[in-house]
Amino acid sequence: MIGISRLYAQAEKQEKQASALRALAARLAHLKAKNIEELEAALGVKSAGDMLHLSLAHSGLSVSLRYDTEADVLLIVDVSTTGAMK
Amino acid sequence: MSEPLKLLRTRADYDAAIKEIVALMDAAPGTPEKERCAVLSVLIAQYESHAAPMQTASALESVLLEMELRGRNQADLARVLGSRSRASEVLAGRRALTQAMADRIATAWEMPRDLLGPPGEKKVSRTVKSASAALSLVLFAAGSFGFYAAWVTRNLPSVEALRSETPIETGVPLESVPLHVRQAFLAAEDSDFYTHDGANLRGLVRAAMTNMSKLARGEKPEGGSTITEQLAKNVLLKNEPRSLNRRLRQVALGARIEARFSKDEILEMYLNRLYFGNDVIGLADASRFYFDVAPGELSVSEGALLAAMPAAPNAVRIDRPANLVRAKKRRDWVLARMGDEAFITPAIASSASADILAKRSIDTEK
Repeated sequence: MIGISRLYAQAEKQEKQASALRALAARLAHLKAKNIEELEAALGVKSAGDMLHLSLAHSGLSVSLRYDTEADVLLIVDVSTTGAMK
Repeated sequence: MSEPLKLLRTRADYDAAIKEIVALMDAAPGTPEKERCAVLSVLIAQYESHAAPMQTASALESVLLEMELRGRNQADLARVLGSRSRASEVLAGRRALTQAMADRIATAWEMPRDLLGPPGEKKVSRTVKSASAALSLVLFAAGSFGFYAAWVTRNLPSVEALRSETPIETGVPLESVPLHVRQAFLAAEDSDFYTHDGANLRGLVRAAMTNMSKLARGEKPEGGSTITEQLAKNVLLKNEPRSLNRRLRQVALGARIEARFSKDEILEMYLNRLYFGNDVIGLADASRFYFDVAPGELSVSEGALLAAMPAAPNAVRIDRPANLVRAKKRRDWVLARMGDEAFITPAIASSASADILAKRSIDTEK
């Protein structure tokens, strides 16, 4: 599960978003998903191919994750901010 | 051909690695590119861990994320916590999650429990603590007593020795003992004899109650032993001094005797080994010594007196004139007990208590 720290470093000054990313990192670290379907269930979102899109409106974040089952890599490939995080 | 993999030391290295891993995620499974993708992920994670270390998420942050991911709101949390104000205070950060709250949320929302704080030790009420301490004490005492009892009751004599110690040739068979005489002994010593298994808790409690008042008056306490236990004491433990150890061995032997012999056999052996004072042992000799009759000829009054003797043989032996008043009192007590147990009618008890305690043939007093 990689990529979150990078975003976290960028979001440090926006406490609400940093807080959400900390929680997301902790949540992802606990995931024991074996495939994209289990990941969907764990995060409560629908996938589009190997992409997952998390919309955390309250925290002002929209996060795109890409999951590679074989490499067991969950990469945050994009984050768009709403509100404070620019 | 791609460049050899190396540690990521700068932000530029890191950005390049991120760019590459995004491209490699489309590689076909089982290819060198896919393997490179997996190795890159390790290098990236390693760089992130020191270049932009993250604080640990708090329990509240995990709750808030869960609410965002699942579209839950404060009302949902209130339902889980059982209080709207509690939910409000938790979400505002004015109230920390307790262990119980975290347990409820993790269960209701199927969240990893670790995200909501360490499970820690559950709060235990003072009542539960006291009850646990008391239970521990009781279990310890019971265990200690069990160990002590097991130690004390090791090497018990064989109950088979009872037969050789109580030869029927020198005694009287039970069928030759009148029913009222047997009942007199049961009433005086062990009215539950035919229903207990050797030990009689009711009798023991009764004896304990009586002993409290006796000890308060400075009198000698009574044993509360069943007929079976007395048989064990009189025959198998006769050389052991009175002590708690002997009492426990008596109880253990009583259980073995009950398992080996019938009730009638036990009663017969008991009657034939009882001490009646004046060196007289056994009902047959006692009948002849005190009343000059065979056991089968004993009257209700005589049987009751003999039944009164085992508890204090020398104090009620009627060959001593000084004992007559005490002997009559004890005999009448046995008659009353027989009445209590419905062994005899009040009329028979009254008539028997009017009988004079007379020796039929005692030539010499010892």
